Amino acid sequence: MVRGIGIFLVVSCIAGTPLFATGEQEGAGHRTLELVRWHGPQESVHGIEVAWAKEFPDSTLQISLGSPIDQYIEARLAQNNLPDMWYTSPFEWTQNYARRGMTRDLEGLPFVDKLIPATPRAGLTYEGKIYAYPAAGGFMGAFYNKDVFADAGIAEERKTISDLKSMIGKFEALGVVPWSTPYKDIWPMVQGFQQMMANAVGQDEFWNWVGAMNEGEQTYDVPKFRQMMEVWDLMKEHGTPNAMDVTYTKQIANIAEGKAAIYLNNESSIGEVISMKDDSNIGAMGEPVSDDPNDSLVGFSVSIAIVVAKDTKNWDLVQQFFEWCIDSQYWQDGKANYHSEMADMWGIYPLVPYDGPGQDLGGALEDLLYYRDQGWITPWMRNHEPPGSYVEMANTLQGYYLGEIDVDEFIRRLDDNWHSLAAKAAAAKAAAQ
Amino acid sequence: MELVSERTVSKVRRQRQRAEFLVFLAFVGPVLVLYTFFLINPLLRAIYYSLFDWNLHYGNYNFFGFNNYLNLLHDEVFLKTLKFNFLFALLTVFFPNIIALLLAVGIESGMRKGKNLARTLFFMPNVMAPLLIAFTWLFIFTEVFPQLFQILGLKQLAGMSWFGTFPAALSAMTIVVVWSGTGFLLILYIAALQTVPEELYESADMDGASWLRKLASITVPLVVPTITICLFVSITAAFRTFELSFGMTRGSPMRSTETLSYNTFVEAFTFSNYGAACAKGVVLMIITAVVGFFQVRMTSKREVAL
Repeated sequence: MVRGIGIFLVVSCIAGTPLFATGEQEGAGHRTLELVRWHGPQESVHGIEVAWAKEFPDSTLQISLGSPIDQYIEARLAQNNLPDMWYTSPFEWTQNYARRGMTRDLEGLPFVDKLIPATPRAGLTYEGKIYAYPAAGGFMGAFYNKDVFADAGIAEERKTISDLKSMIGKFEALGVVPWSTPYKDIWPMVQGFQQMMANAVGQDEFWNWVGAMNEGEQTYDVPKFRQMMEVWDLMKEHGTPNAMDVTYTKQIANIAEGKAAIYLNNESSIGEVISMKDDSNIGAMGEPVSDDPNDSLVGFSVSIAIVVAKDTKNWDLVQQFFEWCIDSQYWQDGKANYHSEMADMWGIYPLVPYDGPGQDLGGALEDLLYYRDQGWITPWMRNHEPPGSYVEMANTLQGYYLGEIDVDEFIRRLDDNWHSLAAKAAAAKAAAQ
Repeated sequence: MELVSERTVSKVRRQRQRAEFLVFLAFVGPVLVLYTFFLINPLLRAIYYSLFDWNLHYGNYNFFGFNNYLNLLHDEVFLKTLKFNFLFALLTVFFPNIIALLLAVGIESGMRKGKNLARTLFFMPNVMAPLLIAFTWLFIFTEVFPQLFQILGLKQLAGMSWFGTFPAALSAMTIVVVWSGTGFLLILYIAALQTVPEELYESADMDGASWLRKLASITVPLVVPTITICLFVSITAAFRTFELSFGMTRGSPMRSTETLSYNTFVEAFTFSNYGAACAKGVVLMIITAVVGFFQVRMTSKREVAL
């Protein structure tokens, strides 16, 4: 009997806690603004929620996790219960939600006029209107251990393929692996390739090339492609031994410990190198694809776009949220807001002018911002490929890397992959309408 | 003495039957409801959705007939996956069962002490989550083995890439299944061996039968019912394997180690093709059922009644 009562009380307490907790907050006109993010532990965004609560005590900012976010949002849509705001990617996803009438346009909001010039506005736009707030800008490029470069006597400047070839011997003389190639995980391999491909296509031709690829009228075999593949041949020969057994974590460790010199990835990896070794000096540079240093570019795009549900009941709070995000007074006064917390915790920086606190990225951030401000950037290829194409791209890349297919077959498979997926995507879009 | 009428007897019998049925319903009913809701319902829905061209990303949802099934006949990756899964099933049914049976015979006939300890040790991998096993073995293959072989002076093995070629990756997957799957089969085989009458072995000893002869003529025929169960368990497990592809190989190299389950997952959660993924799921279910059915039929014919 006593045991039964005990169990009843425990169950009641557990079940009742969230019930009463919610009841207390939702009462008396108190509203909750929900933002769904796609990754990271809850404690990483808790600071943002607390900062909001201090500034706007009449409402709660709830940053919840929904992953994989596209499926999560579909499930919420099916329940007719979309969150107020959610993370997504620019271009395809942002436009897809807008096309389906799920999100509202954000034209006229103050942030639109504050975006830095390098912001790829096209990725936030559908039918001429801005549909997303670019909450974070991301870079893809070649990152290197500055100490290893110094020991090898290599200057930190834009490189060409010939430069890379001449550097190999210097690294190997030091017992350092020139390239860290962690291809047990497919995404670093694919990201590195996508960025190089964007550089090979070039800034000027990029959009035409993407459009023609979607029509099935272009090929990967652009003039600089085969020269670019020389870099992959160098990585094959001088990268980490048994690359297919090396994980991303191992790559980070190799760079932090100075066992490897260069790796291809995005800027969020730098924080991980530094978390492994506090005093890491990391530099960033473009990925060379030819013997012209002007072709050595970094990828730059919106890495997190925030979209707003068309039927949100908290439109006034949403506007308040975006104004809070871009108001530099917060970080200048030493108070936290969304961007200061994201920069401090993750090293994630916004696409509005920002001079607040942030994570030290070992010197690489300055390099990346320099590339961005000089205009030495290309769009991220991955935002423009048909959805799902990275699976077959990884498969094909592995085939080339392992010597199973030659460059002609490599090109044929990449072309087939893009063309067939683009055709399927076009058919699906047409069917959806 | 007044006789109880036949009508009364019949009434009492009906009441008892009704009471028994209510008890039956009380025990089975809740499970049946749960089973229907969580197993039958998704199964029927999957069959239904497999008839639609449904892409979550684009939001299209149109009746597609059997086209999702017909498309599978031309899907090179799916056919490759199918071939791989049969090969994987062959290896992971054969090795764990042979090893488990031999170990069971060894433990039952050769060990006087420590039987419980041996059983516990072999069974331990079964209490680990499959995904955890995949991640742990990934670490062992990529970090522990190279260093261990280096220390042992086995340079060729130390420099071997476990995930760089199809044969090596398949071997790695098989090793993990043998390690994690043998213990459960071992327990079943030990239980079966304990039911074999000792007198049969004594008679065979008197006739001068060798160990191998006793194994072939007494042990194996008498444990065939258990072999039937173990083979069924192994076959279904081989076709349902997801965690090793997901956690250890990611289907690499070149999508050569994708199991049917993992391939279905990729179709749904990477390509967002839910209709096609449901069709693959249905095909996987049919394959498992058909292979399992024929295996049970074949081995059942060889069962010996004691």
